[in-house]
Amino acid sequence: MLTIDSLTLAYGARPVLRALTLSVAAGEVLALIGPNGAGKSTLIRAASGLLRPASGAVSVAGTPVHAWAPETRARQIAVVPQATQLPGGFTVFETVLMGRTPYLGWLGHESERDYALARRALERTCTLDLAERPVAALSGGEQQRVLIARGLAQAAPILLLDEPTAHLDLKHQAGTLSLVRDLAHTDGLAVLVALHDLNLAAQFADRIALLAGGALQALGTPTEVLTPANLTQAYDVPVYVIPHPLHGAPLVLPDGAQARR
Amino acid sequence: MSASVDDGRSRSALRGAAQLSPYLIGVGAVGLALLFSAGIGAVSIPPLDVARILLARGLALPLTADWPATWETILFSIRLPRTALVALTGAALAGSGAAYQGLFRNPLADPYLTGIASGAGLGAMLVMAWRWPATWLGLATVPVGAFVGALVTVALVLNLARLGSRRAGAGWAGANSVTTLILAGVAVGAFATAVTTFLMLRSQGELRRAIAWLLGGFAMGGWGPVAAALPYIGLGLGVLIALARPLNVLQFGEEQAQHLGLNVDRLKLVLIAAASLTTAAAVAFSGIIGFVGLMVPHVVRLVWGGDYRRLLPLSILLGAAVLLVADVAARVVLAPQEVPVGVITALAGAPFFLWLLNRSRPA
Repeated sequence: MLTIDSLTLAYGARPVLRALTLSVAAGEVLALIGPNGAGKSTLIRAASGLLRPASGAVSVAGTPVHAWAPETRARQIAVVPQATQLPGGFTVFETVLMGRTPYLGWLGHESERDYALARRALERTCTLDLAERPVAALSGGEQQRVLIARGLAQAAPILLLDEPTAHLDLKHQAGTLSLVRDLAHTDGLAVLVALHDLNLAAQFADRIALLAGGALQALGTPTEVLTPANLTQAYDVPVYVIPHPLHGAPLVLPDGAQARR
Repeated sequence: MSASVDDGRSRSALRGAAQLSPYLIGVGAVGLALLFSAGIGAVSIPPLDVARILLARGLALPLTADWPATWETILFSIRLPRTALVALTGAALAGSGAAYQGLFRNPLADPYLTGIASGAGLGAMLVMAWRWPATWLGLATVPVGAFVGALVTVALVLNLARLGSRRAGAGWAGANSVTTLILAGVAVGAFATAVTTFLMLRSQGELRRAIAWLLGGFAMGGWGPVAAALPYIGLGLGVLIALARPLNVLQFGEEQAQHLGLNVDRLKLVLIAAASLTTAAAVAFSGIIGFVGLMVPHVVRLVWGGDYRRLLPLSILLGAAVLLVADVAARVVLAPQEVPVGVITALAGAPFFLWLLNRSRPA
């Protein structure tokens, strides 16, 4: 669905991504992990078409995304940002309805179909009962679900999320990611999600891409990627990996005593 | 779950009914302010009689003319042109102020504080100083000069603000940080005002009189200025109202707006052009009047929320009403002498600005 082919990208003279190749299929969740500055957010922005690659390309169905007009891009790729600093003055419903922007242009008005799609997105994310509340007044977890609903209203086959659990508590982290996994497995979206928390990635991703220094260091199932060798090398701290007591997914534990050095 | 979400049509019908009242308040306020504004002067005409004369002559209603005939002359050739120009100016300033605030996502942006009004003033001034023909291809040249002055100022202020924020380490995200934009605006505005003052002092005769209105108010008479300002202000405000929905999307930040499929650079350019055209026309015909564009959109936002589809038209209506009231005050406080209306708006607006500055400072 989404193909990233030997993508190289630089901010000025500083290379941020080096010859990165990976692809996300419809119906799967691919998690991007890696230490701070590894290029996770940059890869998400490049995949969304906002950044022009120095070489290589991000393409959907064979067409490079940065060459598309913004509205064409937004019909193919929905981006869910971190829920920080949402503006006042808009209800949840109005916010989700803005997901229909790529179909309306500058001067269009929402049709009944747009209202229906926004409502369906609210239902899908269990936020329908929040519809008339001001979006700025919601909790972080609720806002994150509303932003996912806005992405769904875009009706794009590809969903990109940049650290959607960064400001959430334990319950909402799990809730948000199980919704994201559902959207891939049930609704068939291709999902690329940058995650900080390795254990959440292990639990909710189908595949994991480990980035370090802007390059792809490992790519595969959680069990294949989350190995002590891979993680110690990428994060520069000794780690242990044990199976999760309930479902056996890898559980990553840094060695606290050694990490302080 | 509220029933209104169930179907789009019932929802918009419900909202339509709920949203009618702010517009009624706005239209009512403009109407009342208009009647009082037109009634006050050396010859005082009761507002009710103003209304009756307007209904009789404007809508040709069969009313017995029990008022002196001179009242009609006074109203139609002196009072109403001025009232109309004041209302247009207030509408233009509040509408463009609301647009600038949304565009820069900065609660303090306003045609005056960002220096755009002063830049427009200088542009108008230069056109007059060079004795360009008053009209060119049927367009009044003074507002065109003001428009160019406003655009140059916007470009300058935005770049200065961006530079200042980057120096301060805020990076691109903080490029429009609340105070740097205003600091850059005040500096550029002061410079433009200084050049204007200089040109004024070394000028003589005709130009000196022309500048008096630029700095001070609505002394120009007749329907001429109203007819000249109307197309520019109408076009500018029309474009802003038409783009209220994308302006809403922009409130979520430029990056999100791009992700939602808007060509943000082009949108910003069109919004800046429309807001600057509106400001420029107001300045070219009414001088530099501060704080209306700051106060009115804020009050509207506090009372009726931040949706630009509501905010813009309501700001335009209430801007007209507020400036009409300020103009009445300007004419009565030292009557028969007239205080520049900018003095009145600054007396109310400067404390408001300080309150807002304090509120918008990050905790």
